[in-house]
Amino acid sequence: MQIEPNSDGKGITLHLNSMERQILLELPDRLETFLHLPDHATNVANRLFPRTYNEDEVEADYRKYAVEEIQNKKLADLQHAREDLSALSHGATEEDYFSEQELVLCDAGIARWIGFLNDMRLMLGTELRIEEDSDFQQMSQELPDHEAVNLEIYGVLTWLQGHLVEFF
Amino acid sequence: MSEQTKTVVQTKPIVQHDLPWNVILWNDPINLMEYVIKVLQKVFGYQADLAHKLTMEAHAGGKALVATEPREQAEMHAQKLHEFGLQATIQRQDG
Repeated sequence: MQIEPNSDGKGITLHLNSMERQILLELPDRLETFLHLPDHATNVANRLFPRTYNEDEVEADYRKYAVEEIQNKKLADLQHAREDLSALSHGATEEDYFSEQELVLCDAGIARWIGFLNDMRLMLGTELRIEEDSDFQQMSQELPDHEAVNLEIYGVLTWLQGHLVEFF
Repeated sequence: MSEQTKTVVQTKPIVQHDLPWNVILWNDPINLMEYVIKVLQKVFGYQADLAHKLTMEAHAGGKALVATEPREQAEMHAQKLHEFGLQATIQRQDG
């Protein structure tokens, strides 16, 4: 995975290999499930849609109108990223599939991708119980295989978001 | 004649004492610090130095008071912070 600023000074080009594209295409389905359940009593839903008020009654009233807008923004970011990735696969030959492909993002596209990546990191980071002083190397040795894979993906998404933020 | 739009860059946290609702940003271990700094700049129009200071305050102390303003504005800002994935709550200043 590589990122380079576009030669016209507007936006960036993201170079993705087939495995990176596949990972990025598969994860949104799981995130989307959480985004459709903002009031579900799970740690991930609580993290994606955190409280605004400490008082339960006031919070419940506030959520009636605020959560939908937050949800719409997050779903729109996810949908845009998914369409960007799908467009790369559309009409691709077998050779294209295994080669590196370029995703050109304008400034608005970068903002949407940052939102999408951040929500994915919030989902994975919450599931993995990431803490301030988490030792990722130790975690990867101790976690069961499927969680160790998610930790790897979390690292890749962190790298990508960290670089995109420079252009945000 | 065209009207020019003036961008106001805030150099101090927004404080409006007449209708005091605090917007509190909470530290979390997942959001990247550079990202939080950029979000504070975008949501509140804060200068980079101030956004950096508030981010570090949240990081070191667990939370930071990022604005004091009328309730409606505080709700709007908290909602924006939530849209960006940050954790923020609001509370009456004397509460």
